[in-house]
Amino acid sequence: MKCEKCGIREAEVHIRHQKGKETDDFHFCRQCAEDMAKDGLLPDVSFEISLDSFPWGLFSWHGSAPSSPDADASPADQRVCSHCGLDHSSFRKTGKFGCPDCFTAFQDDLAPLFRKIHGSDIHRGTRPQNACGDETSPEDLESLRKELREAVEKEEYERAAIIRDRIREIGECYEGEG
Amino acid sequence: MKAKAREIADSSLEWLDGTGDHSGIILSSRVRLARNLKGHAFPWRAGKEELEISAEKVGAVIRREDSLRSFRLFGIDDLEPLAKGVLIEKHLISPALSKGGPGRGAAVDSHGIVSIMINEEDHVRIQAILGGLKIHEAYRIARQMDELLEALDYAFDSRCGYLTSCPTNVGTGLRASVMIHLPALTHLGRLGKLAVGCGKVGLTVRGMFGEGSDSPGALYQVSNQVTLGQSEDELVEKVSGAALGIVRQEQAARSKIFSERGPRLEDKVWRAWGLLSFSRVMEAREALELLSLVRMGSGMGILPSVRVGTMNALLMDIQKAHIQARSSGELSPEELGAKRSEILRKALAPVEDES
Repeated sequence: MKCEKCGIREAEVHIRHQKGKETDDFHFCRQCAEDMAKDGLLPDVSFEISLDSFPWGLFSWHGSAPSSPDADASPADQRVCSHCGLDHSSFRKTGKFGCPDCFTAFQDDLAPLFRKIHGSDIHRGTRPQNACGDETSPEDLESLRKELREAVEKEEYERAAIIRDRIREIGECYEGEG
Repeated sequence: MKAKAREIADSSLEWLDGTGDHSGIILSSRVRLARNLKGHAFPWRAGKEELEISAEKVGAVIRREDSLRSFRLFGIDDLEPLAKGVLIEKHLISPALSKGGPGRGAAVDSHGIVSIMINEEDHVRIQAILGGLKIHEAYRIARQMDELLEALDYAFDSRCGYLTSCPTNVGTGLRASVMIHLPALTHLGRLGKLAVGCGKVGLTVRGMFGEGSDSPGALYQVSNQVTLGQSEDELVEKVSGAALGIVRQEQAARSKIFSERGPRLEDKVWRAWGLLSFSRVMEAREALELLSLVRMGSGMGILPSVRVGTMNALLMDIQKAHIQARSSGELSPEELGAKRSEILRKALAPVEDES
């Protein structure tokens, strides 16, 4: 397929614009896409990362190919961040969170998204001193245990080890607080 | 008080001294941490008022901390254009931040080791740069700043880690990188293979000036790709270990070229020194390429040793905004090239230049 803008180079960037139930598909070559991003006509995304995987590819994480006509045929996602007002389609379009609360609003998307980018969806690094426990509810612990069981069943042992460490940390955190 | 471009150009940038381990090949080690404030929209989504509030909160903590007293805090819009250019060339602010606007600011310490960008892509970006291979130390410094700024009440989630505007920075918010000089590997056409190898272990290789293997001066940046799922120490160690491995490869490549084409290599290096020492007008790109040869030649003992610090300083001093900042009045491209030549001659010419 040729680029819709220059008509010369092969199209590498595929964009689906969704408004309500209508969708428009656009196909551009890398160079035209970069030019348009510079002019603000396309979301300002980092082209340092392979275009095949980011960000257009990121949003096909449910497994269906982006070119499949049925991929977005379900009714438009109504989720909106209650703090900054970012709606789900804008989040998908820009590939950026609008505020910390977006992580709650679009929670269901996070695990597949992060696993695609980072190969993991669980933070194992430092935490602010005041963060210990206060944001981890017992339900989180329960869901972590469930994930641990699933990971073991799927023989994803590396992931299971990470989850196990996390459960231990949270446990210590609660004990520490009494 | 308005910061003058010249003053910023002349201010210290510690890594230039070239004292760290392997500083002939690894110019600098940098760590940056991305942080955001709880309850505030990220900068790209925030209005004027909210940007000003978040900037004020960050500024207040920086002003309050005794240990940050040597920091200079400024709003981007308060800088003259040339001053912004100098800060970009020094990598103390990013080109994106230099566009300015409400609440966009930065704080820089007096040694030129730490810079804190305010309301860039995230509310806070802490960066520490040291010379040579010192990523662990750079991380320790950045983390110290991070602990001081924790009073801001960061946006943090026990599962996702530090929350950032872009999903590629989530978790640790940490990007560790080295600026590395790889002329021999570039010459042998091995950069593509190196980049692929790095990609397999979660590292990215990028040209410092320009893109890909066409990076003038053979200067590259190697950094971690992922930020979530590994601890800071693991990420830092990964970049540090890879950097050391790449240094060994570069050294081996230099030996290989020398053993196969010794006289040709010597000639090339000496010619580069000759051009730098006697030219009268020079473009930045040519200067970078010749400096790259002299740097390698000096490191291999082909040329009389040139101090690493001298070569590092030249990389800054020959850039456009640095030259402009130290001149009176706007320079034409021709004058700029002449000035650049003069700077290079003064620093490198074997005998006192008589002109």
